[in-house]
Amino acid sequence: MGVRKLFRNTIMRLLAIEDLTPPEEQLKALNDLIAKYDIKITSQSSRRILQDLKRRHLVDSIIVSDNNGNLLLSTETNGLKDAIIASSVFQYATTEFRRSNFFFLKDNKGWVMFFTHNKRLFIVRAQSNLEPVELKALAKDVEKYLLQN
Amino acid sequence: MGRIISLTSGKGGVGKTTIVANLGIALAQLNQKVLLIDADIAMSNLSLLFGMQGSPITLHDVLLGEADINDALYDGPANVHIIPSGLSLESYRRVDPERLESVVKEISSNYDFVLLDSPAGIEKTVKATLAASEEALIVLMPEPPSIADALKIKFTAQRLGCKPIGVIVNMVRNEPGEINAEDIMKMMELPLYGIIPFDDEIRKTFLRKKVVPTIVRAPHSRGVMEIKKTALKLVGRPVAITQEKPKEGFFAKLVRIFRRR
Repeated sequence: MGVRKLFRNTIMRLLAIEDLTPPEEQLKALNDLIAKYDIKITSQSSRRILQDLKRRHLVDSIIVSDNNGNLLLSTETNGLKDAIIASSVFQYATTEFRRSNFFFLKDNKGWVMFFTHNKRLFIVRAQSNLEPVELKALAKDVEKYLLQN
Repeated sequence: MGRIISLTSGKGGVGKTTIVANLGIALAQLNQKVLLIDADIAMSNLSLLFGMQGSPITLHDVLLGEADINDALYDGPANVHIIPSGLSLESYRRVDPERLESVVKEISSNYDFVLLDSPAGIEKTVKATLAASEEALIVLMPEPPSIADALKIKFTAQRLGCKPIGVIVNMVRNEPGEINAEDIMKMMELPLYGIIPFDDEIRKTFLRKKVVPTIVRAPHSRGVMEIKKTALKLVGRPVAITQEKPKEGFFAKLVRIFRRR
């Protein structure tokens, strides 16, 4: 059996008849992955940019307000209400936990994450919680694309 | 401020640590001031590669706020500086990886290049490493799982504000079935920074009594020569990154010869 296998392997190598070609199905899956997640933000429309930012950062909604609850921007239609509630919750939380900049709440829809960046309050909803480094990057991205304009 | 570059991959076992060590020394041999950071705070393989597993002060101590970054610097070959990570699982659990960003920024002005050996995967420590870096070089092998993970890490790096600058295709055997480096470059939409052949000298790094990076022991090995090209590209020297032609079987060679006639 051993000799047979050795003979077979030798012949296969010599003749290069092994079925070795890049797997097409897997390569197609990679192209699907690129199409879904390679999000280039090129639009001039604020609304479109916000939707692209949501997709890029894998979140369900982004709301930005000032510390008094005045809405600066939102991906949702009920952003104003959320901004007012969030700023109240954030102000209360920071009085109790003075050294904290990030607050994470879990509700039945997923996670609500509050944090401040450059004196603005960000309220982010997502199915799973993001790391603070991810939230900071999101805030920088939002500022880069929207708040400077 | 020096360039802060993460070598990252998504998939484990693609050779990040080996490339960081050899690339760092290759850059130092080009008269660059280089700092290597073992940012894989859980596994600490770069520290093992440089024989620094017993270092009294490590990145863990710095991230815990119990030591100054300058006290965790050690000398390596060719005047490379190295910050090893600790092997202790207890301190790893206490460490806050998000402090890495401020620690790296604090020291980067002393160097031309700060290379971070990133952990594999896409979890917390990887994100902290990418957030601490300005640029990322993505290491992968020429096969679909490795490319899929490399794509995910590319999107993660972009999301975290770390610019992917290129790919290094490692352990290339030029076998039929491997995905061509040019195709990888197109798929990743990133330039090639290296095509490193599978090199038995590199594979045997941890199989010897004295563990040293291959560039020290076998500076002319095939893999090392290609890593040196990556170093040249990083410092902006003109260099051609090209792939060898795939190996042909005996029969395929015969067919080609007869076709020509």
